[in-house]
Order: sequence, then structure tokens, then C-alpha cells
Amino acid sequence: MPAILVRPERISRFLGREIGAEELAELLARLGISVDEVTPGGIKAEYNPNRPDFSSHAGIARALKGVLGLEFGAPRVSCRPSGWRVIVDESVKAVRPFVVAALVRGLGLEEEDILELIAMQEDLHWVLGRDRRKVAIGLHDASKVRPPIRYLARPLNEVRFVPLHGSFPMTGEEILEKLETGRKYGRLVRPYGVAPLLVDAKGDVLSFPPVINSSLTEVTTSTTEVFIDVTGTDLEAVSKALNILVYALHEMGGGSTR
Amino acid sequence: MAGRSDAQRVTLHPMERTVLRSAVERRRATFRELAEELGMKVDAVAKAAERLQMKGLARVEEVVVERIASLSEEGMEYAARGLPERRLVEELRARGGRAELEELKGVIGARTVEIGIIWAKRNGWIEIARSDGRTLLKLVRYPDEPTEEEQVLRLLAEGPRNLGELGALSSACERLARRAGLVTIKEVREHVVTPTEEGMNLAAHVETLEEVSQLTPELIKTGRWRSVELSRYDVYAPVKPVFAAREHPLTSLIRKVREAFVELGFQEVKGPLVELAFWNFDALFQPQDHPAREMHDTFYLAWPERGGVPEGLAERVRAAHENGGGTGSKGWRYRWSVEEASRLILRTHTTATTIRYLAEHREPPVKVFSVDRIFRNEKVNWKRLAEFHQIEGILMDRGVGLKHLMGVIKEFYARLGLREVRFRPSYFPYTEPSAEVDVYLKELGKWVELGGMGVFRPEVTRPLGVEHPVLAWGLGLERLAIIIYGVEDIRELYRNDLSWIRSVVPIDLR
Repeated sequence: MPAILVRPERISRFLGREIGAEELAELLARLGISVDEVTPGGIKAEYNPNRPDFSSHAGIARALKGVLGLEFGAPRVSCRPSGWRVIVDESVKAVRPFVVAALVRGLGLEEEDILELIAMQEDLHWVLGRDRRKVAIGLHDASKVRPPIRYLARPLNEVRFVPLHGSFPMTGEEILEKLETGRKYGRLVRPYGVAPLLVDAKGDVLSFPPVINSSLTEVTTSTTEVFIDVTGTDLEAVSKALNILVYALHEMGGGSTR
Repeated sequence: MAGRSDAQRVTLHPMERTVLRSAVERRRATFRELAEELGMKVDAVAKAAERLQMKGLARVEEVVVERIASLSEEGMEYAARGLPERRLVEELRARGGRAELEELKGVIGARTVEIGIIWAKRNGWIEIARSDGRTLLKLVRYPDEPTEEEQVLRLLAEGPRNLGELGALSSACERLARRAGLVTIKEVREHVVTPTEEGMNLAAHVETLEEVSQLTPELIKTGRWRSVELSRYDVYAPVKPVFAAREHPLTSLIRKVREAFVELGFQEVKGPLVELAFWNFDALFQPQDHPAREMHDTFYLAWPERGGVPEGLAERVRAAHENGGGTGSKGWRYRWSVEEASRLILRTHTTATTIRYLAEHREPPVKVFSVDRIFRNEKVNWKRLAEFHQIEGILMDRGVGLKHLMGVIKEFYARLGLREVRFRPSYFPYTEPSAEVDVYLKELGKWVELGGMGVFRPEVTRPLGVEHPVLAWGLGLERLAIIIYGVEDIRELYRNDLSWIRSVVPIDLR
């Protein structure tokens, strides 16, 4: 049961009206979210795996709007082709065949938003991704990316880039051996002997799903455009994850494009 | 004062009379002494003494009658090898009366030296001098005779002794007890009866009326009942507790749960503890790559590893998982494996058993329940067990739905004494809609989550050929037990602590 700390102030922001902890705790129960404890820091709660959209405050607030009668139906997201392309190479077919992507523009992300996005990623990796196998998500600062992007697989020792939070380049093999995420998720790629990669037109590695992104495209508070990539072994799961992220980012202030 | 009829008369039961007389003779006696002398049971003496106290004729108090000293383990060691101060001066003497501290430590051990120095100095046996940063010990007086403490050690090494027996040595004994517990002194307490002044006076006067505790036919026939006093019952008098047989609290609770179901027209079903993954998970539409099936939640059998899955049914379940199987659902969209379904596990819920039953009994109405063991591969702690009981009920009939389910549950819990119940939406993989049940506990003043419920999904019922809605609900027996018996650590239920089993009562739920 994924856990989430629901903060009334943050819910109020997405809800468009003030809501207190007591009232919120009761409403959460009506949504099927199990409340453990109301603390000054927020409401400790757990949501069920059938509602991955509850992985963000935006998602919860969206459902609350319905319950409170403030707004019904799916939100309108304005969506249009961006002109960006992801070219899929045959080499990923065996290891990690599916990829979907979106570009969200016009964002002004605060520290809270970024922390929430990271938490969402982890939750979705578990709930939808069955621990990153079916779904792996990458979030990138689009200003550092030049389209078109290629999605391909390369032998592990031919891969070399600076991983997220790292300061020097590492090979694919080194990443799998030395980094925590490498050791944890290496089992998903090792049997195939190759590393799936997203590479942009400048030749920069954007990410090595499902293991780790590159440090080049890290999303920060100065990011105004986010490129989302979701790769995996199940097209439906991958699309669902993208959907949830796009809606969340939309509510956090962006207008997305395909 | 009980028992007084007027200022001059006191009525005494024959036993009270004998006890009082003895107590007066001895001035002071323990229950045990009186029992021995009078040939009575200690209980009877106790009862008589309490009543004498009530009548102000004697005083009963608990006092220390004996103090028994015995050697602790360390004490035994010292008795055998000698006290540290003795060993210290022995070694000093062997070296001509002088030695360096460090040297001594090297020979007889630092700890022995450190302790030995304290006592040897205190006894005036040694002197300590320092020169050139070295510490020197000088033997001043070698104790030829054993010290009092050493005598005590020798005596006690043969066996425990009454402090009184030790006579002059008893203070040395107490000193040893204070000294790092070399001797343990156990106090033996007994109840002692001391007659009060009134009691003493009374014994001198013979005027006592006979008090009887039983009105016999003989007393009535002879008319003697007019001249005797009937003693009053003292329902508060202490007596030895008698333990009649008693059900284990869990057995008692299981029985109550069974009765609640049976009264509602349900029939009990039982099934195997070792179950096929097919019935435990697949038939219940739980996908094969669901985390709960992985090693950390389920116990898989090492041997035999697999069992036989019913063929025709397996294909229909496969269809449900892979594409919804004609129920209108999309299914889970993955490759279903019959090998995975044929694995043998320890069942993780009794829903496996009830669904087995449903597969064989498809004509409405079906009302069955189960209270039986299930197993989860979880770490045992104060709120979780790996082996416990599930209570489960299912009801299948034409046209039943969520509101009927809520009604049945309210009635079921009411029969267990839990009258305030509320429902919250929730999720289980095999039911839709699903809900969780909270009960209000007046004693705690709060709502507590107790169980879950739902209507089985068509992906579960259709492959089995069940055409009507199936309502289901369940809760943990132990979870209910800790609420009803006010237990804080769930493991308490299985610790088999006799005093807990004997004394625990259900809380008042009214």
C-alpha cells in the first residue's frame, strides 16, 4: 500500500479553496484513502494500488473536486503536437520495447513540486511498473535536450555518461556495479547484455532506463519545460504512467504537448 | 464490631475458640505453628484468625520469621579460592612481605588485587607506599586466624543457614551480603497471630457461647437451635482460589463467531491448509505478477512443489486473466501460466476455501462461512503474526448487492456486541465495489478498522459458472480478539501464560 503524506496547504493550492486537516482527513476516507494519523506535518495516509493517480496532491485534489461538487469530469488538458520525435530502434525490442513521451511547457516548478514529482516516480515505478520492470520514468529539463531523440540499446561497455548526482562519466558496466540503482535494477538488463538508452540529437545520453538518468538533464527550479519519457514492457502500463504525470504537471501549471 | 450481641457476650465459632486459646497460651504464634499444634489445616487457621481480628480479639500481621542466608555463585567461588584480601596477603607473605602492585596484579589478577587492597587496608593488614611512580604494598600484619567473614563463608559453603543459627557471626554475614552480594539473605514471611488485650481477657473468662456454622436437622429437632448462635457468612474472607476448567479465550471467541453466523443461517465450510496457487490467487483474479505472490508474503512448499489444476476451469480462468474472458473486462493483459497456478502454498486467506466451495455449489442461495488458519510470510511482531485465523463469510443469491452486504455485516457485528459500524470505500483485487469496516469502541472512544468486504468481480464468478452476485466479507480473528480482550501485544494470545488465560475477560462492549 503506497504511503503518502498529504499536506492540507498543498491540497488547498490544487483544490482552489482552503481546507483544514480535520475536514481533509474525513474526505480522504470517502475517496478510499486510508488515513493512519493526522500530524502537524501532514496527514499520513495510504492509497490503494488501483488508484495510481493518488500518487500526487494534484491527483487527490482532482478527485476531491468531484466529491465536493466543485468540478466534475476529466480536466481539459490542451494538447497539440510539439514537433519533437522519438525514433525507436529495433535493438530495444527484446529488452524494453515500448516508449511514450510528452513535452510540458510553461512550468514554474517549486522545490515542493520537484520533490513530489520524484515521489510520484517512485510510487508509479512500484504500483504500475512492478518495480520498474513494466514502467520506468525519466524526467528531463527540455532546454538541455535537442530533438529528435533516439531510443536504442547499446552493449554495456559502449555506454558512457555522467549519471544523475554523479560528477564524472561512468560506463554502463560501472553503473550497474557501483551505483545503488545499478545493483538493484541491473537484473532487468543484464540478461540481455545491452543498455537501453535515450540519446538526443547532440549525441548526449539522456537516460539509461530503468536504471538512472544522466545528470545533464536534471530538473531544477529553473526548469520551465519538462520532457517526460516512459519506457517499459507493457504499453498500457507505460501509457497510464505518462497520463498520470502529464495531468499532474498540468495542474502544477504547465500546458502539455505531445 | 461483627459478632457482638451485647457488651458482655462474644460468640465464637469452636475453631475460633481453639485458635484464640492457643494463641493466648503462646502469646504469639504463626499460622503454621497453630495448624501443627491443633491438627488443623492452615487455611482453617487463617479463616479463624481473620474472624478473630474482625472481632477485635487478635491481630494478624505478616512478619519476617526467618532469615536464611546462602552463598551466591561468586560467594561460592570465594569460599573455594579464598577472599581477595586473603589471597593478597598470602602472596605478599610469600614474597617476604613486600611487593609491587603491578607484579601482584600479574600473578593473582588485577581484579583480585583491586578488591583485595580495599579490604586488606581496612583490616589493617597492609600499608601502601608510592615511590618513583611505582606503588608498593607492605604486609603489616598477617591474619593467622580466619576472619569472621571467612568463617561465615566456610559455614555457608556447606549449605544455607538460618541467620539466627549463626549467632555472633550474623553481623559478619550481613556484611558479606552487602559486599557485592556474596551472600543472599532470603526473608521468610509468615502470618502471625497476636491476641489483643481483649482477646487475652476473654480467654480468661469462660463465658462463650457456642457458635455453629451449619443448621442441622438435629439442631432443629432437639430445639437446640434456640440456644446457639449461627455464625455469619463472611463472603469477603480470603480463600485459596480454585481454578475450574476454562476455554482458551480464542476458542471462546471462535465459538461466539460461529454462533453469530449460524444464527444468520450460514453453514461452516473447511478446506485444505496447503492450497494450490490456483484457488488462492488465480481463481480470485489476482494476477501472477502481483507482489503479494512473491516470496516475501507467501509460503511456498519446498515439497511437493506442485499440484493438479482442474483443466476446464483453468482455461476459463486463463481467459479471464488474459482478456477478460467474456465478462466485459479487459483482464490483466499478460500471459497466464498454468505452471505458476499449480504451485503449492500455505493458503494466505480462507477465501481460497470459500471460492472452492462456490465452484461446486452454483445454485442460489449459498451462505457459507469459515473460521480457520491462514499463513503469511511476515515478520512476527507486536501487531502481526505469521500464522493466524481468518473469519470469512460469503453470500450468493439472486439480485443481492452492496446494500444487502452492509445489512448482513451490521447484523453480524451486532451479534458480537459491536453495534456501531461504518463503511469506507476501499480496494481488493477480487471485489468491486470494495469497502472497509470500522467499528466504534466505546471503551477507547474511537473508531477502529476491523475488516473488509465487497462484491466479487465478474472475472471471478463467471469462469466458475456462478451467475448471481456474490457478497463477501472477512476479518482477522486475532484482530477481533485483541479488541475484545484488551490485549496490546498480539503475541500474548498464543503465549499460553496460564495466569492470563485464567484471568482475562472480554471488555464490556455495551
